[in-house]
This record gives sequence, C-alpha cells and structure tokens, in this order.
Amino acid sequence: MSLEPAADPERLYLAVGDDVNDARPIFTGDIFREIEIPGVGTAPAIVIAHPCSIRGREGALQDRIPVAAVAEHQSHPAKNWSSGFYDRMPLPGLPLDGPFHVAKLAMFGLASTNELVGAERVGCLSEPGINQLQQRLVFHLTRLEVPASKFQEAFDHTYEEAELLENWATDLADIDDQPAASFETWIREGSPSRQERLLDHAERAPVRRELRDEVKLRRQAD
Amino acid sequence: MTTMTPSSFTTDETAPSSSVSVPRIDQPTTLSSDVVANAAGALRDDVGALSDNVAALHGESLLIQLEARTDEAAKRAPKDLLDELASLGFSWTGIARLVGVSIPALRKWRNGETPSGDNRRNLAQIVAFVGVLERDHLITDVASWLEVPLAGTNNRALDLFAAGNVGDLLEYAAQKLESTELLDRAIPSWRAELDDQFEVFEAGDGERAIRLRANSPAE
Repeated sequence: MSLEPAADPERLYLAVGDDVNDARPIFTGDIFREIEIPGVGTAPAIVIAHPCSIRGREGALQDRIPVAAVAEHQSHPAKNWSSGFYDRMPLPGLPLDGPFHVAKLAMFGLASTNELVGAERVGCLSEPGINQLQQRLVFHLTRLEVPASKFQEAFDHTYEEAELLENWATDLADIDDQPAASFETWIREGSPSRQERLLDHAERAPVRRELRDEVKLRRQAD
Repeated sequence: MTTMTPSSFTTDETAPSSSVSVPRIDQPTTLSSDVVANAAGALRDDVGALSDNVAALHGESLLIQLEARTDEAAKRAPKDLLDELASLGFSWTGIARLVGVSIPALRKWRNGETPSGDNRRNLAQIVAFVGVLERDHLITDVASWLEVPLAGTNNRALDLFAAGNVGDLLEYAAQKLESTELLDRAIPSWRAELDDQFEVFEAGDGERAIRLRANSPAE
C-alpha cells in the first residue's frame, strides 16, 4: 500500500472559485484566500480539523479551527506524491497565484472562526479529497499509513450531514438567519435521531426526503 | 452383455422440434457406464450453452428496455429530472457521481442552464433506471438500494453504475445475479478488500474511529 497519488482537480474538489456555494457551512478541506494563522503568519489556508471536531454544542462552530498554510509549489507527476512529500498535500488548480499549490501540513495553527466565516473561500475539497487530506495528515504526524477508503467508511456519515446542512442553509437562506442552529435541532430529533440514522446507509435517502419535506413546510409556514 | 455404442441412440424425428432432443433408445439393451456418462455430459453441455445464450439474450433485452425508457425520459426538462431524483432521496453528490459531472454543474442545471447532449442523456438514463427498478423489479426505494454496501465491502451499486456496469446491475435487480457475482463481474479484485488490516469502530466518545484489527498479521 502507498499514499494516494495527486488527484485531478475534477476529483479533488467539490467546487472552486465562483462555484463555491456561499451557503455551505465551513467544513474540513475548505480553502481560504488569506487567513491569519497563529505562529505561521498570514497565508492562504485549508481547514484540517476532523469533521467531528469542527462543531460543538447546538451545531455552533468552535471558536478556533485548525488550519494549515497553503503555498505555491513545484508540480510533480501524480505518482510521486504516493511515496514522498509526506508533509504536503497536493492542491492543483486552485484559483490562487500560480498553477500548483500544496497544504503545508507542518505549518498549522488555530485560526479564528470569525475570520474564517468572513474570509473568501476559494475551494472546497470533495469527499475523496478530504479522505486524501486526512490520509496524508495522519501519515505525516504518526507515520501510520491508513487506506483512504477507510476514512470514507468511517466518516461518510459526516459528509452526508454536511451536504444536508448545505441543502438546508441554501434552501432556507432567505427565511432563516441561523440555519446551522435550526438544522442541528432538526437533525437531532427522533429516537434514534436523524443524525444517528445517517450511520445506516439504508436510512440516508429517507432522511433526505424528510429534509425536503421539512424545508417545504417551513417555506409554506413563512 | 451387449454394449450400446453412441450410434445406437437416435432422435425421434416425429417429435416436436426443440433445441435439445432427448435421445430415444431403439432397442432393449444394457448401456455401459461410460456411454451414459458421455451422453449425459454432452446433454449438460448443450443445456449449459443454451442457458448462457438465454442469459445473454435477457441481459441484452434489459439494456434495450432501458434505452427505450431513456429515450422517453430524455424528452423531459433536465430540471424536472433532477427534481424527481432529489424527491426520491438521491443526494446531489450521488447524482453528480452517477451523471459524471460536478455538483456546481447540477446547481447550474437546476437554475436553468442546459447540459450537454451526453450529460442530458446520462441524467435521463438514471431516471429511466429508477423507473425500471420500481415498475419491473418492485424495488420501492431505489435511492437506498443504490447506496447500500454490497457483500460486506464498501462498494455500492451506485459506484458500479457510475463505472458503467449498468447491464450487470439490471440483472442484479432482476435477481439473476447474487451480489458476489455482481462484484466478480464489475471488480474482479474485490475480495482483496476483505483482507483489510484496519477496521472502523465506535470509540468511547460515541464517534467512529479507525484501528488495526486485533488479529491483523504483523508485517
């Protein structure tokens, strides 16, 4: 086994540049144009926090979120990233100066969440991109090589929940100014809660249908 | 003891024609075990070949049926097709993967932009596929059916559809294939995944985590 090779932008990103959905909540793998990273300086930055640790009680973002600096870098063949550059995550095709960038996984710090919320987001990693980021981060910090597919298996319910929150925030943007909080209340309803049901693949489509119904009800009630 | 040779078998010319004729024994005799075994083996080969041909024909007919339904679905507006899939419980990530485009592209189509001809047809094919599974194979929640991992692996029918294994999936939906046979066709190396040294478990805080399996062999 070896680390994942560098991915094409089409596979690596959920969205870049103008395609980034402003209503998407801050999530692992989000890339910002310029952030003050304590101990590092001001630089483009990528959120490296694990999805489970970004939010606290009632869905509120933590006051500070771990980010790593993003910097321009020389491009290398995709396969070279499988067996080297372990302290870097390849980020080709970002709308920043230069054609090729990396996340510098040794240059990280706790960024202010308030600053992140107001900053320009230039890209969001896709699920495979987040898996690759976590694989490289774990290997850099611990020298433990975990298959990227294991991150998908373990945490795909958090990706699912992030997409639901994005849909919720997008579809209710004009009538709900605290979508993360209202979503958190809704997703925790029931026994088992909708959040717990997301752990079961067979329950995800029913939860998505419930969300669509709930959005319709709230829009009709407004 | 009289030994009957294969030439002692004749077919009944007056019998109704069929692809496989049952041999008629012309005269009372005693067959050697070798002749019986050979005759039965030849018959089994014929039936096996016939079965393979029928399976291939069925597979082709399922694809022809899907194409016809796709033609119908392609007449509808892309936005309507997307709305139908979303109302069935498909995620945007899932739809994007099935069509082979990005989520922002789907958002643009929802807002009225026109997809390319190929993408429009790919989108129509998903809706047609859902229709075939619901109406002809009585699968009531196709979105869930596509997302459930197959045979204890991380592979889902959704991934196989995205990889182009649509015909195999139709046969699986028609219960002509087991999940392991489906994976054998689509991902011949899939069993290696089961030898994974890592496992996902629930940690003390209730969240999922990853660890080495207890019986994982040392390298």
